[in-house]
Amino acid sequence: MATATDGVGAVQAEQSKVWEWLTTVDHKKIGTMYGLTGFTYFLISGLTALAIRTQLAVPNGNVLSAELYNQFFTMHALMMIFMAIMPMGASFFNFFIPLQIGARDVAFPRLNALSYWVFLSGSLILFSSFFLGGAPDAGWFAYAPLTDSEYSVGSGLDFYCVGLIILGLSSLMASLNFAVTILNMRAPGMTMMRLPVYMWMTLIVSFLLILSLPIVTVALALLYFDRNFATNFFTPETGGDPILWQHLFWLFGHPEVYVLILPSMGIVSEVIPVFSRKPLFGYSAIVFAGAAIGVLGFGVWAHHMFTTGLGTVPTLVFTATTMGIGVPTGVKIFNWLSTMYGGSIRFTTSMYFAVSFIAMFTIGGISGVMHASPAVDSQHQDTYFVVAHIHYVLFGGAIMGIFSGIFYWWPKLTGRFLSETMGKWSFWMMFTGMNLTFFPMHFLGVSGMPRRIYTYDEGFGWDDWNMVATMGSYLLGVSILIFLVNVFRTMRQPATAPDNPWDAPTLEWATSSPPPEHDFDVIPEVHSSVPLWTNREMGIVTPEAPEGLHIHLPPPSYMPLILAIGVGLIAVGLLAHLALVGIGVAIATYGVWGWSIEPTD
Amino acid sequence: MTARSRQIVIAVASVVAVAFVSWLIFIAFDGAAVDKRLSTLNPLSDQTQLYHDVYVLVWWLSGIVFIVIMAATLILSVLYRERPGVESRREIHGNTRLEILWTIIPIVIVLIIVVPTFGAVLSVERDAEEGALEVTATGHQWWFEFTYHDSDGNELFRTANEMHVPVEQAVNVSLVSDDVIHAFWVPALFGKKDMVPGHNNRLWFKSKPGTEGMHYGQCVEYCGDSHANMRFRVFVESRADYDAWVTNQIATAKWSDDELVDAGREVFMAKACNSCHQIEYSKSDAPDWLVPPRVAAIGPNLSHLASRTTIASGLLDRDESNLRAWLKNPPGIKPGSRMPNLELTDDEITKLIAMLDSLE
Ligand code: HEM
Ligand SMILES: [Cu+2]
Repeated sequence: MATATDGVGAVQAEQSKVWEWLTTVDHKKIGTMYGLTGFTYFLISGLTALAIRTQLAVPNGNVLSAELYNQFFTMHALMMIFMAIMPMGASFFNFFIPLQIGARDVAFPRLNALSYWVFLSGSLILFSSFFLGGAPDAGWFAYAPLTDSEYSVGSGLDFYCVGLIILGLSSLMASLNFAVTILNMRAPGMTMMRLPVYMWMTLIVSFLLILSLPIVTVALALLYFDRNFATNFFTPETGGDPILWQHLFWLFGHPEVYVLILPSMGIVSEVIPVFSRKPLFGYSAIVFAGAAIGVLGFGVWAHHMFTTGLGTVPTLVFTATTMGIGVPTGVKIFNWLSTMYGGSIRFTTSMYFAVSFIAMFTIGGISGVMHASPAVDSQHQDTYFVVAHIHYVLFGGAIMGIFSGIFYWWPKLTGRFLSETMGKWSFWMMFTGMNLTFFPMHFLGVSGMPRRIYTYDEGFGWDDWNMVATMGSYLLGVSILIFLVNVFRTMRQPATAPDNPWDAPTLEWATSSPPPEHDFDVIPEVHSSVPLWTNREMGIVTPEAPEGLHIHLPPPSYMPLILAIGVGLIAVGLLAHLALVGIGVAIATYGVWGWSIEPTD
Repeated sequence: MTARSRQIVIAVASVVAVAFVSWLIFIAFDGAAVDKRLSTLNPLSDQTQLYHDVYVLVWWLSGIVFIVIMAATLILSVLYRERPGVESRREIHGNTRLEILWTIIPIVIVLIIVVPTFGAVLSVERDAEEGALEVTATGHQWWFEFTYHDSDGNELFRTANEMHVPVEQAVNVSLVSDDVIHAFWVPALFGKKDMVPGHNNRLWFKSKPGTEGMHYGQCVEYCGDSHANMRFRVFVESRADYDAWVTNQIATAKWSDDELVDAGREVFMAKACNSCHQIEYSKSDAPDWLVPPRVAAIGPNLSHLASRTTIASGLLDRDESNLRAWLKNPPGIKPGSRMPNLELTDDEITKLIAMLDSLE
């Protein structure tokens, strides 16, 4: 009898655990969900990449059919960008916006939950296309008119439109939330120029998304109309213009690449000073350079279109602006290096990743400036040279930065340290693997190998470097496996991490590891951009928590989940049957209504 | 070892290490230039030469920046690795002079690139020379069509996947597309330019002396299933060879009375090959049913197929076994091909090949 009752109790406990996560509005739990989901898609997308590399290992490979290959390279990019790197970024934003600015949650906790659930539904919709008649296969930038229903007959491109609109919606809501939080909820004394650089980059990213997502949302809607309601926005036979799509896409697409890299720039701007044991060199220069990149990022989009016949004057103008964006990028690199100068550098795994970020990102920046010249670009566009560029900035840059952040913040998030030994193994394998995979692509590019080809012939002189690249990608796979083992082993250990194991200067290290649900018992004073260091030097001690401390936290709510289900159903309806849209609208309306009358204390 | 000599040793060792890696990279880049069909480092026209000069400048500047930043990263990492008894110099927060300096350095570098870039772009993008040969290149999923014009713009003939031009002659190529966006690219002769439906792009090039020979080209804008299989070739020829080629292309298709060829022509009509392909026989040779009016091409014009070196947009050499494989199952060779599997028997294929081989 007793055991049976225990069983029921356990099931109930289990159920309430699930319920707790489904209804949570705690930024740390939401951050966890973003992180886990994003990392899962990172793994899946990585597997598609390994399949791609396996197909290309030798000439005339026959591992993947042309159709499957084209779906894989398209989905690889879409998943990495929208379902892995962005949500992993959102995961960190969720954790560290409140913790770094000294707040107890984000400005709109329920909106935060809604962002996650909408992200999850959008990502599931896009991913399910694999099993529902074929994934999108027109490349991540999906140039019209290949995307028209005449040339892309299946529903893959509809999944593209609808899935990305939903994912964009999620990012838009999250960005508004993050921007409002950073602007309004900073701890007393934390002026904008005392904001941690990571927060600055988060703020800039939020504005980039707020300004650029509407553009691509409109473009995606127009494409959906072209495909499903025979409108003519991008189809030339009836007076539409395929180049219009390119302008709209890249007007979003270029800011988007900064959305992917700026968070990692922020992370290394935290990590490098901590492990060099010096404040960041040129704090304001790095902040201004980040802002300049954000602004200029909206004025360079046509460098993706140099070969479309823009005309001479636009070509030259966009050459100049693109070259211009190299300048603040250079400034950042110099400042990170100067931060190391004169330091006493502790080479933890996190620091390894951060330093290699500088080096790898620099290589990507150099190749970027190279094809910012249309003279060079007309020979590099759509070759593997561009593939090398994007992977040095996105893998060497964004992903290396994320790993640096994972190793740096893991003790804060979980109270446990990831193993440094295994961490360094995974670092060196990843570093070697990524350079073996992507550096040869420069050589393949100048020897003319086009990107997005599912096969190539012998005799073009591409065989050797392709084999090297494929071997490198397997090494990358192994490095990720080691990382996973590291995580699982770590999670079995007791949580013993102290509050501030790295002697870091920012506020998230002024609370326990992991932080309590209300984040801070007492929020420390802020007198500089390195508050914990300054407070120590000035002898300012944060007072103990008062007796019987009670901090009011927003109650859980299932309305975000309901609303997200409604939104998801609307999206499914757009792909399956319009009747579902009606049901979706009804559910969403109920969600909004319930949301608005729900008590918030 | 004193602190000073330690610093020097570390710095020298780092620079040597980075220089060594850079040297390997240099060799690999150089290797990419040699004997590669689509090498971008082998400029054979005035236009690619202009662009190549910019590339070389950009490449060396990039190399210098690469060495400096990599060496600096390495040196700083080794030099300032924590050591017992050595404290970090916390006082350094920033330095306005330095910030200005390293804002100026990248500005100077990009200016050095921008100025010659502008010059090269302006001269490559200007209008083609007087008296340029006029060719229209049309992108189709997944092959290229070439239409030659006389100096008044009248159409002379159409061919596919192999373009012939006289050496040292300016050629003005109009770029159009019949379906989706493709891109036209022969790295030795001209940089990439897109073929956008509804737009009329163009490029022009003039081959350098002594560049006679075959040059490889490739579609470099993703255009669907068989994008990988969309290749073409450009033959740069002496004036005499070119003229002979033109004369042959303008002529009607060669008539042959061979029995097998005749049987092939019947299969051609019976299987409705002619609904997509044209063979332009002379009215005086051929019966009426064989001479349809000229229509927009769905497939390549076959009037002079036997004068080409390849079939299937440069995928296969034009020989008996490849033709057989192609006719047996086109989508098997080129996934998604607009030419369906016509379920031809071996015997029909033999006849067709005989006929196709007669079309010099
Ligand atoms: C110094 C700064 C940079 C410059 C001057 C630069 C320049 C360029 C240029 C000219 C292209 C077009 C190449 C072509 O298609 O022919 C390009 C492509 C691209 N860049 Fe950058 N870039 C820079 C930094 C970055 C950063 C920081 C990222 C992202 C983290 C990035 C991501 C990309 C991506 C994803 C593409 C390719 C998009 C595609 O075609 O799929 N770039 N870049
Ligand atoms: Cu861009």
